[in-house]
Amino acid sequence: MNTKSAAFTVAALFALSSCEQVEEVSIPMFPDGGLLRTGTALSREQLYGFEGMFSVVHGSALFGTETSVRTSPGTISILTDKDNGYAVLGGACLPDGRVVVEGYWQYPTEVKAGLVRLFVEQPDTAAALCNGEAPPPSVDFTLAGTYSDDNDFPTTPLTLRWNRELKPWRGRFFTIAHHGGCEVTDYCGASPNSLETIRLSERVGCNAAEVDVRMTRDAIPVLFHDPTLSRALVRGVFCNGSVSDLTLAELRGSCTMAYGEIIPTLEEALDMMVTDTELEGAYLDEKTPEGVLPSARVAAALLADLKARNENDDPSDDRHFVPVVGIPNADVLDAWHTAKSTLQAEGIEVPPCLIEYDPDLVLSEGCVAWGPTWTLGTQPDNVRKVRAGGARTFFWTLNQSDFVDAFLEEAQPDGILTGRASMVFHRYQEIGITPPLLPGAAP
Amino acid sequence: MSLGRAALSLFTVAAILGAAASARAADTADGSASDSSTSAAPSSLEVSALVGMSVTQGEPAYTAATTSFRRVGVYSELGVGYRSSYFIDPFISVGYGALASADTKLPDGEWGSAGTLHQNLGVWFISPGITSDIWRFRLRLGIGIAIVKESNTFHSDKNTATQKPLAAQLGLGFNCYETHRFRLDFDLRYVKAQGADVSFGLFGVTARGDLLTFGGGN
Repeated sequence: MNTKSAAFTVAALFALSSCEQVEEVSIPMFPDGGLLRTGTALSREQLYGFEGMFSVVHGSALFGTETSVRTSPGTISILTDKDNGYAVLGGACLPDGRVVVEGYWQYPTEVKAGLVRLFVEQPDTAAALCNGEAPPPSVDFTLAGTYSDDNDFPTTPLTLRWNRELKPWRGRFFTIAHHGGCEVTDYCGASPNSLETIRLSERVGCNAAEVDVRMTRDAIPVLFHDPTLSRALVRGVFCNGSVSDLTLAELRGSCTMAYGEIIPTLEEALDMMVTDTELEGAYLDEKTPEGVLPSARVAAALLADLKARNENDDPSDDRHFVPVVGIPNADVLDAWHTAKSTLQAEGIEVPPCLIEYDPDLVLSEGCVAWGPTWTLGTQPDNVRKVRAGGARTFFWTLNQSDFVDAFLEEAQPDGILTGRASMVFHRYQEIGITPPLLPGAAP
Repeated sequence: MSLGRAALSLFTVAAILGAAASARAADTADGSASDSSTSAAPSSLEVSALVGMSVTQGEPAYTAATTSFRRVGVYSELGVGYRSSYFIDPFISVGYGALASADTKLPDGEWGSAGTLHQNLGVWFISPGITSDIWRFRLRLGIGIAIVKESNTFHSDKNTATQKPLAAQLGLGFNCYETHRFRLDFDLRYVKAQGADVSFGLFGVTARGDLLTFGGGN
């Protein structure tokens, strides 16, 4: 082989060998549905009894020495700051009288996950749960069992013992999902801004969700972050161009999100949050001024529906959820002024707003929250000023535990927007100061 | 392949080929044996035209709802290159391909009643690059801009969206016919527009002719 053929061969091999390698994401599952399939699922009221701070008696290599356990519909979540880890588990009473809590654990930033199978250790407590009771937790309440790596059968001991109650967080401290349960670079198996990642966000520690709103060519607000249908976020050989270039029909026919999900409309996403989750609010990050009025209409319609539900005589359908229109800059603020005028002229109640950049504007515009970027520092004086005016402060976007600690201690905010919800929730439980309950204000 | 890595690859190629060319020039200066056919060929400004069949990688988003999918298309290209007496020849080319089409059924939705979405994918590709002739083979590397055009028709509403990602090409040609100022090649190419998730292979015929010649070589 002469010089030039060798050179070109090396070059071609180099070019071809640098092809992208995509990590396969696999969420571990028990074969045939595990023991949960054979049991009777615990009710929502019973799941509340599992909440608390738990000491890790065995298994600290997985979850550290202490974990937070919180629940959502059908789910018991173990949340830790160790590698931003979490476990998403279900609970059921088995035919033999035991109560099993099983599912998977994951470190979302790594390709590390496995199975977890725990049992309620105290026979009396298990019997009470199987009788449909909801016994209050005590220091005797212990979950004992095993965990594994990947899909291996769990054999490594894991024991959690209830230690103390969680600090108040529902309606008080908001762990806000950064367009979903985890970041785009994570291995959660769900795409940012998809319905699936919003569902996941609640299971990994969030009680509100931030979503990115863009407009289609036919003026329908959808959830998508980038202006362009970039390869990092979507799939489909015919999925090209900008979101604003395509109609919803074209988007739906041409594109899926990275893990095969549909690109949801804002209305679908809010409906899902209200119906399928206990999330308390949504932060609509308006990416374009054109999206403000249509988003405000969707939010206003939802609020009107919720108001009717909450004011009727049937308390069983009550649901408290607040969508907030996020205003990141002056252009969107101008669009917000127009949207407010339009809705008021039509006799429609204006939804609440959040301003990201100027705390004084939050109060003068009558918004319910301030959403500063973390890069401007903890700004404790501004947090206090906004709170004194009856509004909340949510910093974005904090994903590192040392920064989270600094903001929790110095700023004492009402919430943090994050892609590491398990860590933020757990750090709040460890060192956070419970924000005051603001009447009438919501995220 | 990330665009950064593609660019790095091309720079690496250029560096390797540049070093090889320098070594070759030094060999010639020393009076050692050199490729007499190369040294005898005059430099020229060469124009080229390619017509070929493309095969597009990837799948429609919803294969279950896609009633027809055609991934075989047509690609044509015009180019200008400088045919030097060294073995690296720079070029710039502009091509267009009608790459793929599909029909996808949509259910009732916010867009109205159910219907069929007709989808067409085309691409303009403007690419500078380098070629190198090794015996009758011609290797080709290029990086440029793709203008990806997505044309849709739904309920008689026609719409086109465009995207302009960086794109890279890698090619191998075989010279099957050559006269003094004209050459005919069979070409295999691979083009990848990273940002748009569009990549396609290409098999075509390239006609090349010297527009201008410059002396009789070095």
